Amino acid sequence: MLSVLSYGRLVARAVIGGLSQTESRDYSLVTASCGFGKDFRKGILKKGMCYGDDACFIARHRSADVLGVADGVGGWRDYGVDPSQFSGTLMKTCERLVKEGRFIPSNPVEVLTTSYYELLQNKVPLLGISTACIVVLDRQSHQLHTANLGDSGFLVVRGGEVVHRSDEQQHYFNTPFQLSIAPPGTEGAVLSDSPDAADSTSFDVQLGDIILTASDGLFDNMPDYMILQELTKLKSTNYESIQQTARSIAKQAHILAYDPNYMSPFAQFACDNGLNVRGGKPDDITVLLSIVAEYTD
Amino acid sequence: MGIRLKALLAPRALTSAKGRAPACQPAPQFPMLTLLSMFYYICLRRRSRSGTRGEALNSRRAVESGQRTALPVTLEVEQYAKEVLDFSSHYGSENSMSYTMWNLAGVPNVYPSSGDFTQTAVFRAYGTWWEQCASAPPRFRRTPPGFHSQDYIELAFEEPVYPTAVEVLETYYPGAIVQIQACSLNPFSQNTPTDIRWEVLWSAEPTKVLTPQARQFSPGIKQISFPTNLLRLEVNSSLQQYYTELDAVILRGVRERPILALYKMPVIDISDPSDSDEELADMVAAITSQDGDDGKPHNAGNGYFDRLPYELIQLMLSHLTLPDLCRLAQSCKLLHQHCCDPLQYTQLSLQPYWARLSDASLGHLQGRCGLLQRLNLSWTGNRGTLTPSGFNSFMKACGLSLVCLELSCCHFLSEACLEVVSQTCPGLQELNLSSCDRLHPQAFTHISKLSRLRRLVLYRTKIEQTALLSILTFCMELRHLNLGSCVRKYSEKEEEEEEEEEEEEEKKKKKKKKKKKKK
Repeated sequence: MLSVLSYGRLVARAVIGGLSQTESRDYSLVTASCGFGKDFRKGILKKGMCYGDDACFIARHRSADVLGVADGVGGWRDYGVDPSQFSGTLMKTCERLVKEGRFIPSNPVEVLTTSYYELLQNKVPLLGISTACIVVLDRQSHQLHTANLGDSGFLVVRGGEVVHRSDEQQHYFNTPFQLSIAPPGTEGAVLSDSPDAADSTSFDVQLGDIILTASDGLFDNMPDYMILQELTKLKSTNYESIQQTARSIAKQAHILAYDPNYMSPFAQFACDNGLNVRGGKPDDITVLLSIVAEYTD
Repeated sequence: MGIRLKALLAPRALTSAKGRAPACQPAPQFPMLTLLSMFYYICLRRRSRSGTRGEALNSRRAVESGQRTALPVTLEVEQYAKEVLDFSSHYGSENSMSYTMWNLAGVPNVYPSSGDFTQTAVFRAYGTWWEQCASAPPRFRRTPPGFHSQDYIELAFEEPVYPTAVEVLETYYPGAIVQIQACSLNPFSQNTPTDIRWEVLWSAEPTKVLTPQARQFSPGIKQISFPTNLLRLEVNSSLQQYYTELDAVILRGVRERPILALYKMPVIDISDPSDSDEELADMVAAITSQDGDDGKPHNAGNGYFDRLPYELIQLMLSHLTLPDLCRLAQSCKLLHQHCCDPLQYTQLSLQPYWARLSDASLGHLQGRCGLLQRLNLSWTGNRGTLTPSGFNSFMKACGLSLVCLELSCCHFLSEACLEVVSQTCPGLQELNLSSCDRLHPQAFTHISKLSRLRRLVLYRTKIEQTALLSILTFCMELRHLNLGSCVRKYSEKEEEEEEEEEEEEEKKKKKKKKKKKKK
């Protein structure tokens, strides 16, 4: 009797211990990035992570892993404005905010807002337009907090299915919501959205969930089923295999973008809007692929 | 010989802001208790001891023969600043990152680029505007000619070292730094020593650098006898043509005390203009030894001094700096009487002596300052050297005729201190509390009792609306009010920024407008 009791107690303890351990265990993101700039400017060396006019960052702090993608809009290139400057600085500022811990994991919109206002502090205004998407994983609460402004976005894939995704924010066809700093005097004429307009969501993630954060260059050229097909190749959670999968996704999107006969999602959407367009959409492509794994130092 | 070679060839370890350097092992660890290893250990100890002795002799010989040899130092540590502990002003806003002093911590963001970048640390002022504007107080008498500092920043590093070099990465309009100091206190350790020492590592006159180009500034620094991980940079931007921008500070040093310092070589340092510690001791001793004796003046037997009018001697003494005045008081009874005359102490600026001012020295000055009108305690009393009670008793003794009180960056201040000021200084016209950012918002309500106030500086404080309104209501004579960077909340950010700009540009106008509205 005594032995049964003691064994029972041991078993119960083990069960409870196991349960509480899995619950209290922190998650983190293993992330790899890959991308292609649309006009092969390989010679230009840039600080930080930039692919063409796209920029991204991967940063971590005590309580959270943070990813971000920004897509610089090239409309002002003819006026001598380098669009990658704006998106790149926006992402770098976000990265610094995260590294210094000046953010709350549950409020990614604030990261975007603060970073935008930091850009406004420049004495010589840093002109440019950009869309932005920020993804934050709260390690302890296992929640994914996101902020999305414009047509960049993210997918959460679990068991081969998309379980959560960002909404595309567009004013009208091919004109996404965007952050901008306009040249002095033209403030009214330029389409500019407040960073507070960013779409914010929260989502509970599980171990093994795949999070794909990318600029519109990917989503405009690859439909979901193709992305999911590529993701099935991902087997393990080590960095190398993630890096490989990210590269293959980006590469395929890059090839499709320059295929004149391929009916891309962008072309389909254009047809829906009464425009006769075929082929891929040549654009900068940035892919951040991450897997939710257990947190290790 | 083998050991020495190894020592010389040891690689530089690099500690970044967060990482730690691989620990170097100065002595072989005591091995396991086997006979063989013990024997081996003893052998090793002998060899190393004889090695260091030989080495020491060699280096001594080298020094004596006037040769310069490489220091037989094993490991130099290079570290970036870990944390910004304190500073007097910055260009950026309190809840932003752009142009704030916090950017000075960590690895460089901008260097080697040069230009105007928001990621750098920028002080509030450049040029002479702040000294010439209508609200600027006149310079205090007796300010020593070698004191140029206008702003400061204190930086903590990961690990205490004996510094061999300090490098400042200046990315725009360099040349504002006038002094670098090191403190014996380790800000990260729990136990605070009773005796906190500040040593000047380097100091110079303000210079004008003609190009705005970025540079790595590494002045030749003095050797000090204690390890430090707390540095203080002091700047003077009055000759600058634009804001100076600093990117990062690197502290290089060794963990072991450099061997030359162990010999106590007589280092004659002409470039050090500051007074040594002994002189401060003199100063205190001078005051203590003669404070008690207030006997009648013996004017007989003072030679030609007897023929000089009292006022003339007073005039001569008025050109002395404060430590000189205290030293002179020790020379004879006549001069002691002159040096303790309260008329010599109508203006008292203790800011240049912030590192050495304590409750005791303030207490000793108390007896002479009965006619004090202008007092400058800016930068003093931090890290526990002044206490609220010491300050309060000084104010109670000397505050009656006080007109101007400068208390910038005095982190010892408490609400009780401001209450005492408001009670004991009925005639106070100027009050400067800038960068007293640890003062509770409640404390500022006492300011409204100072009804004669004309100039009030509350730059970078936590003042809130109620206290501000009562000040505006009751201080009817207020002419100048500085509320720069009194921002706390995100929601108020935009409004406040506008206010700040307005305030900086036309604070007087605004003040007058407000007053008109009230009336």
